[in-house]
Amino acid sequence: MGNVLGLLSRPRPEPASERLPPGVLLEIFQFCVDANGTNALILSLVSKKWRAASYHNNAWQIWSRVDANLASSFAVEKAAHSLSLWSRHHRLPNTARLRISLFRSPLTNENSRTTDIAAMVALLRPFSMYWQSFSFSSNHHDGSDFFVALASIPSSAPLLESIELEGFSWKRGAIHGIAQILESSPLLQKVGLRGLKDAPAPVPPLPNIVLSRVTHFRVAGAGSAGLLAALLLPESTDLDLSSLRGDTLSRLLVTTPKAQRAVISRLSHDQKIPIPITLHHSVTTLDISSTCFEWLRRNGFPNLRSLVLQSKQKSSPCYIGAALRRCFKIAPPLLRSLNLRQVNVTNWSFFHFLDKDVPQLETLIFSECKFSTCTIDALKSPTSLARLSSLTIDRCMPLSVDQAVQIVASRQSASNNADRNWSGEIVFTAANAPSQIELDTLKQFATDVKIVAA
Amino acid sequence: MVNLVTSDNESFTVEKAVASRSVLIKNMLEDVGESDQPIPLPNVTASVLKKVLEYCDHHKNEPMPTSEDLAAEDTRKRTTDIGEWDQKFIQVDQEMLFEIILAANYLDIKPLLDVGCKTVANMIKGKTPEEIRKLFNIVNDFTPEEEAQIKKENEWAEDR
Repeated sequence: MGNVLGLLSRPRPEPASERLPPGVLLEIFQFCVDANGTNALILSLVSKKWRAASYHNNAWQIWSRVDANLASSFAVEKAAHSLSLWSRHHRLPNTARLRISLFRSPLTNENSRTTDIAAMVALLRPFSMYWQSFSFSSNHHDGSDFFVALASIPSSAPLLESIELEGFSWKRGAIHGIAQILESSPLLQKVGLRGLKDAPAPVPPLPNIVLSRVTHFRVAGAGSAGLLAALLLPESTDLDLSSLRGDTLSRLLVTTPKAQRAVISRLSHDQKIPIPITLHHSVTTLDISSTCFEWLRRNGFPNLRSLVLQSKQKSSPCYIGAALRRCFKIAPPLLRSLNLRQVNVTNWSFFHFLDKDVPQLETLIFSECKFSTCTIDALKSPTSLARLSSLTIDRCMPLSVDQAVQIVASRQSASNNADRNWSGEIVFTAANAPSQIELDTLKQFATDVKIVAA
Repeated sequence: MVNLVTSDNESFTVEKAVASRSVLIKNMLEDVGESDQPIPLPNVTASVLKKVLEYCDHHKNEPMPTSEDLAAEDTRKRTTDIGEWDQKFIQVDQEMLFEIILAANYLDIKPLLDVGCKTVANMIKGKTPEEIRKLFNIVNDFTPEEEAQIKKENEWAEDR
């Protein structure tokens, strides 16, 4: 009996979860926040012990993301709370960095101002020496307030590596605000400026801004012209340029001597401003949309190896072959890979392009393109595309199974004669699917067949 | 071979390469030199040490994390990916999971500590503070005065 009483009166050992030292709890918290996206605030609300661990001086990493939803009425209060540990500046190590994201979810374009943007900027600015990345994505009302507030509290962001601004209007205030951030951030590597489709704002010329470390540059909106005229991107290799004017685009490419990969879409033209013929020696990969064909005719890419062309229009213009021939005439590149998406390739000029201008082409992909007998003849021709080793035809019309068989048979035969590898892929819609015999025939020519819903 | 003695007085004789996965034991062995003296581990029970040694034995031929590796963790983005064998190994009841974490921390076996912490982090994923308390049987010990602030912050946490 005494033994039993002794057992009952002995204090129950604390569960192992309660015995975790603060350092181990913090390790767990860092995995929660970093890898699983758990908000540090949630962890701090579990118990006194968890709260103490999450506000320990070493816990700055779990508070290193400030994600503020501008559609929330207490965004500023919440951001201030998550920055409370950062106020103890003297305790932070040299490696401490802040990643800031301001966004509006759900995104509303009407005249909605939920958050006091000036208060938000005033809160974030004193920590700009720790900013590693900064992103802003909202509507144009928030955007205007943001740039006004930014101009009133100037400071530098010496460690900022990445900036992404989206959804603002390219007004004079925005251009000056962005120029100010870019100038005061010497470590920037990645810049994304996706403004709305405004007409260019009349801005007095800005002094040149050299972004000496930026490798990835993304810009959208013709209104950016005033800013882009001042930018020099000596180290940029990747460009993503949308809704610009042809002359702005050409100038930007010229001032980016190391650009290797350029994605260009929704180009506009001012007929009064001629596009000079320009050579772009560094570009090896180009991804452009059909609105760029006119621009393409005036630009040469002697080192181009990979080209993606896509048309998002319902009826793609059929002069793609002519535009490509003109471009390739300026400076003939040794193109290895061509990928065409939703492009009209019915014209004879495209036949000539395949026959004469791309002798080094190894990979050719057509996705949902409009074909004609010219296209099919060009693909069947044993004399054209002498180095082609991979052909994909994905839901292109009109193309019968019989014609597909003729193409892959001819291509495989040409490859065999040249002792080259060959692989084909044909994607049919269910309505146009081949029979089992036809499938077997296609497979004989080292061709994969896929059937997808219409 | 190395002789380890647990808090409940059980002895384990293991290869030096296995025991040395623990930085604590490795340092002890280096300090005492060649000796038959058993190494006491007063913070680890036999059942937990058995599990820890199973892990150490499986990973005995892998390189030990260097100080550079550990320093790089501060700046590198962490993931909660766990290897296939480690995932099966760590499928234990919750009490044993936390005991393994405590032992890995005490014995200074960083890779095992990471496996344990990642597993707990994955259990926490997507849960509210109340759900976390329930999951780990943690008592809400905030005072009524603190509760008002906690309630407000909870509201913020729910607002995404």
